[in-house]
Amino acid sequence: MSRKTFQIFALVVIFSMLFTACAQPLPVAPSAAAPAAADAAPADSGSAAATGTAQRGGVWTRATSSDAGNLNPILSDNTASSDVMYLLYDVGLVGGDLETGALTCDGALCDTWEVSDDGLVYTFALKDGFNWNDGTPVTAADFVYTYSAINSDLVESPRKYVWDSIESIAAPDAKTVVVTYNNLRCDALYDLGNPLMPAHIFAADFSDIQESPENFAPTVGSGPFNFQSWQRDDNLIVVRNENYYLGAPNMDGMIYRVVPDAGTRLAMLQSKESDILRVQPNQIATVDQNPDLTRYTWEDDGYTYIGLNLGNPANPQNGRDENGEVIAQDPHPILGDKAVRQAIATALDYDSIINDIFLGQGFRQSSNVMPAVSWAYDDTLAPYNFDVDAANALLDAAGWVDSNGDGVREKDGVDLSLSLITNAGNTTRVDLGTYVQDALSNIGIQVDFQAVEFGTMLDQMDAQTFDMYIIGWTGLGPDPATDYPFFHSGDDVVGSGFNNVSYFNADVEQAMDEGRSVAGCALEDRAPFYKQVQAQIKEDVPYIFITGSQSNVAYNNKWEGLDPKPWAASEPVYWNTHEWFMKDLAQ
Amino acid sequence: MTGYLIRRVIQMVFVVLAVAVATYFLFSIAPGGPLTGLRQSQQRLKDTDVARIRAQYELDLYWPVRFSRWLAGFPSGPIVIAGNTYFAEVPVGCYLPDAETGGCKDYVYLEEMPKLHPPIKSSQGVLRGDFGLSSVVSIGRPAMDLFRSRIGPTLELMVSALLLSLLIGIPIGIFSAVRQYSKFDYLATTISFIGSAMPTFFFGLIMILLFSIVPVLISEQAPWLIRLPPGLRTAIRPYEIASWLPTIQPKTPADRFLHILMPLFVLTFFNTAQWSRFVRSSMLEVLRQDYVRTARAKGLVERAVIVKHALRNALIPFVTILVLQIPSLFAGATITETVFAWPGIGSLYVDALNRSDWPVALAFIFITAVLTVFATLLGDILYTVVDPRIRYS
Repeated sequence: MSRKTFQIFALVVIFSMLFTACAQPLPVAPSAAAPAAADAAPADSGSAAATGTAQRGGVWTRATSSDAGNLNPILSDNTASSDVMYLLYDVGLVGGDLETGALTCDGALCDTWEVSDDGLVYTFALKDGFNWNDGTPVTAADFVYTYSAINSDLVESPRKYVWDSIESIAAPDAKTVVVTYNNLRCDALYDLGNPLMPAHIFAADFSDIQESPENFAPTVGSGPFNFQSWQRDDNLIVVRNENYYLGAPNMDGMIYRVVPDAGTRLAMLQSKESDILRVQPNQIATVDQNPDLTRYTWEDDGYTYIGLNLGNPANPQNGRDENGEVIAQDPHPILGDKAVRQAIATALDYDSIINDIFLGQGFRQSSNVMPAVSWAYDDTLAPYNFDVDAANALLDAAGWVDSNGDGVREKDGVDLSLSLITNAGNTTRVDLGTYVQDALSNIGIQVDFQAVEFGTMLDQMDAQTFDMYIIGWTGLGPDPATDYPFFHSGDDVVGSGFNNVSYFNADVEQAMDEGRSVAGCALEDRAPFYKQVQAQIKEDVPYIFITGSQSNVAYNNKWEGLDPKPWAASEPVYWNTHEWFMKDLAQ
Repeated sequence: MTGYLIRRVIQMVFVVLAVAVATYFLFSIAPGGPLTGLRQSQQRLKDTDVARIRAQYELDLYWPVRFSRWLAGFPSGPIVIAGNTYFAEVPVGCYLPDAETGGCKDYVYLEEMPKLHPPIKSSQGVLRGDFGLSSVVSIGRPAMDLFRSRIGPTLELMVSALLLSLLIGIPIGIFSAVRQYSKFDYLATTISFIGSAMPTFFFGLIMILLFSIVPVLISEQAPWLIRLPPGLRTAIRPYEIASWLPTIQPKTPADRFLHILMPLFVLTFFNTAQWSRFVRSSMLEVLRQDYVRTARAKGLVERAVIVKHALRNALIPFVTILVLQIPSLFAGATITETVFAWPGIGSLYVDALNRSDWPVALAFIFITAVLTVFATLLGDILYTVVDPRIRYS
């Protein structure tokens, strides 16, 4: 019997070994033996240890939380995909300034642009020198093809919105693009910067785009790297594009590995299995202790805020009726009083919040425009400062007093008692909620704080049945007009609108309208409107701006040439990969 | 026995169906889902865009309709019998909900189904082995495809861990029982309590720290220290693990061995602790039985008493527990796989739940439920084999 048992065990062991042995085909590892390796070798090729000299070789490894999907420039629909996509396709008609985010032709296909007098027709003259990796030049035809494809019924592009305000596009010749708008939207100009598709690879009638093998194994691109292989769910490899228009990259290639767990990604960075990590605030101390890692911090285009419901949660109303007329809101019994909102904004110790709750990864913010959008940002506008006495004085003056001595102020029989929600699971926001509850009790405001499931919270926000919520915006982008729907009564729609705090200020709406429709869209013409908006929103306090978001990456400092810029197209780090090189490269 | 089996199989069908209805219903009433936060991240989406995306996930259909399509691929359009179309005007969902009134602006009718939800984009039904397409984790890929690519790593890890822990755990359990209250017994008991009490994620992180991170940090002072890869199943490029060892080539047995070592150790440690405790208590019970005393009285050598008389009887309840491991061989070790980025089914499930990929999560639950039901049946049948006194009628 025992022999029989052993035989069964042995069989199972052998089978499990067989199972292990049948591996997938090997992806070809990137190799330094590139055809043009010789001409790239530096003059002092003897000393590999010399820093500051770029040598060919090295592979950059990156652990990502999720696998990429469709890599087509007009079909990719999540960040994991577009991170890879930007390495394969990086030529767009227009670009953003790396430092300010402002619309520019630097590093983009356009050379100059002209605007018609009515501000609706943009004529772009194109530059030479851009080519696809098969040597074909990038022309106006590629632009027209890409944008027509987005608009085609045969293509389910998530970028259909770019046609919201475009009337037509045309290419009178290979070096000119004409875009005609049907209404003037300055922020819509950024939509012209989507990386282009190679028109000569796809069918002229767009019929093969949706199911093209190019979407998952691109052969013709314009970026610094070419696609090599992809084992779904595990790894994706790109290799140097020898024909890159800015010069072939020094490194041999990049490897993406799918590692869903954040702790494991950190372990991989520490054990040098990967070269870069988007660092969470609680990982910073660990990263900073490691002499092999360099950390880069930048002020991001997002913020954490407390939304205050200006409308009555018992009677949610739209901001405008069917004819577009403003509906007078039934005000919130407590938060409808501006003095209360300002008192709350004055009662919070922002510096402590940023240091203790956000672990130092944040910055003071006065209003809705991010400092990263430097041309529209008003750096003279001071944020609310922490001052308990001033907060108490504001409430006293507004008639909110604690007459029955229970520690909670009241006025006309209404207790100064509010609910506050945030999403459970986000520990930073939950900590912030607990702090706010405590801080407001110091000025006689009772707060009922609850951490609820994210979907439940969004439902309450959409239904406008809340008093206060804590949430954040991310990815606001380089144009201040992005937050138009947050503060416009037309987007105060019960059940779906972005202006779920029911904010309405006619001056702000007029300034926002004018700010995004100045003919020519010159920044200096637009800036005054946004400075006005910022000052008024700070005064009206529909949001309490807690902190701007600060982001961090850490990378292995065996790499040189990295020069992170806050407004780089996909991520701050990856805009100049062709210049990176590895120090101390063996051989 | 045949009658019993038929009855059991019918019961199993109902149990599986009940599990399917319950999980599908719970997922559909749970707050959140694949569209949560969509409008927050895509600020320029219009209501019609949201409706279009909702329809892509079939969320425009009412949940019983969705469920029946998920389970059986039905209905996929109006019912046509002998050229006559029936039920074409029956609303089966709401394409564009009216946020203000909570009603519906635009219903989905059965006749529109082939156009709005063509068979090529939706599930042919779980009963036909089609679990639909992944909606988040790997957009557009069939859920079954994901499982197929993950089952190998999961079996590799789970089968090895199970075999190893049985090989180690059973002898330890026997020895502890035979030498109850000996020094060995105390030591084994202590270690197995540590093994069962320590959370696997914590143990895993400690392992990564000790064997992956520390050796790299002190690689200047101690280049001979062996460094293990902190996660994943194979490497892509050649790598060094210690100064005195040759470079490891990717996808070789050595590479696979180094990658599986830590997760395997964690799982084996945990399982061994459980198995040895189980065998010990089961053995202790049997050793007190009269027939063991009889065997000794007959003058049998102690070895024969323990192996032939005691162990065989002690292993009877063991069979049940062992067959119940079958579903977990498929399900994998969710936590250990996640900590070590092992590309198995367990980590896929965690990922799918975290990111609201309902088709993948539902497929996981459904397959696990089916396997559990079968394993229970198998266990009951095996009982009659190992213990002839048990009869089903």
